[in-house]
Amino acid sequence: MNKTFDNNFKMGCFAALGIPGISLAASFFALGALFKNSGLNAIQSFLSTLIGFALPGQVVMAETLIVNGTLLNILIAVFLTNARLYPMTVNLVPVIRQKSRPRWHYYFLSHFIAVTSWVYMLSNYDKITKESRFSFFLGLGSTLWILSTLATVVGFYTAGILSAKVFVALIFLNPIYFMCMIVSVLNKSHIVATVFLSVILAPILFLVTPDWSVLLAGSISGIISYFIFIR
Amino acid sequence: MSETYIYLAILLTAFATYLPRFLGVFSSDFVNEEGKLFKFVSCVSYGILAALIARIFIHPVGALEQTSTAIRLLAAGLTIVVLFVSKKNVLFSSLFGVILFGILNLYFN
Repeated sequence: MNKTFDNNFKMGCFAALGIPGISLAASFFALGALFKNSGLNAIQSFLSTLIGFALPGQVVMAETLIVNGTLLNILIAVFLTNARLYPMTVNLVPVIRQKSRPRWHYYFLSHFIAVTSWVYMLSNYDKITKESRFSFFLGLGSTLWILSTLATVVGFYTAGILSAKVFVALIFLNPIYFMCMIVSVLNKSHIVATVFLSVILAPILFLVTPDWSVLLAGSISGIISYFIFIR
Repeated sequence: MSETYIYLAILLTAFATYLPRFLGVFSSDFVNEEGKLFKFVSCVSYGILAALIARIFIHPVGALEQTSTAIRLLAAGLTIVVLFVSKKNVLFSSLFGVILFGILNLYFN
């Protein structure tokens, strides 16, 4: 236990309390308001972020509920939206892996893998020793998760208090932060090429297949860059 | 819409969210940090993330849908310029981007 909840864990918690936590909390604050308008109560809003922590999937759930979609619709739509978590997890676990740890630690930790924690960890892991990364990520991810859950409830209860213009600016913080984090770490040619190609392909594919555009654009770009720059 | 239906929707959402994470941990056994497979997965992950961000800026859902695409793209473009001018200061650039977007959206939307 001491080996996990050490100074690295605390450093991860503190890292989350900066711009990653602020930007994510702003988005979950908005999600809380969306949940209220979708007919969920406070407990349901709280539970949704607590056990289903990944904002785009939660938005899809709320929007499917609004249009009276079936449970099967919700299952498929959320899975498609969150399928990106699969390559992200495959990518992150080798970075934080410690051979001495049992497998269930990683299955537990994976609940905290979401875009904000992933981008932060992948951008900074080379500054953290291999042995410290698991604890650092646990601190980072769990703090972001707690902040997000609280922000969802606050957003639920304060829906309508903020003006629409301030509200929408808050929502904009999260994608702007993701963009800055990604652009700031573009130093490898295969990643630069992937990102450029994907940004061009995604809006085009959206016109053809909105539901699959993100997965397809990302996968096609990644595969092309891999074969040009790595293989 | 009944309470039970919403709770079932939340449980199914949690399942559909955890499943790719679970499968990701399972598959990660075959990947090491130095290997080519790791680089391949990095490419695909960054690609999907870039596509997601592009989609939020160009075809957003929810409240951002009511804002102008030109304003979102202008704010994003100028934020990238500020990011490089500020020597990749993510905090400063993110705040700049949000404030700029807020002002543009207030006066021109």
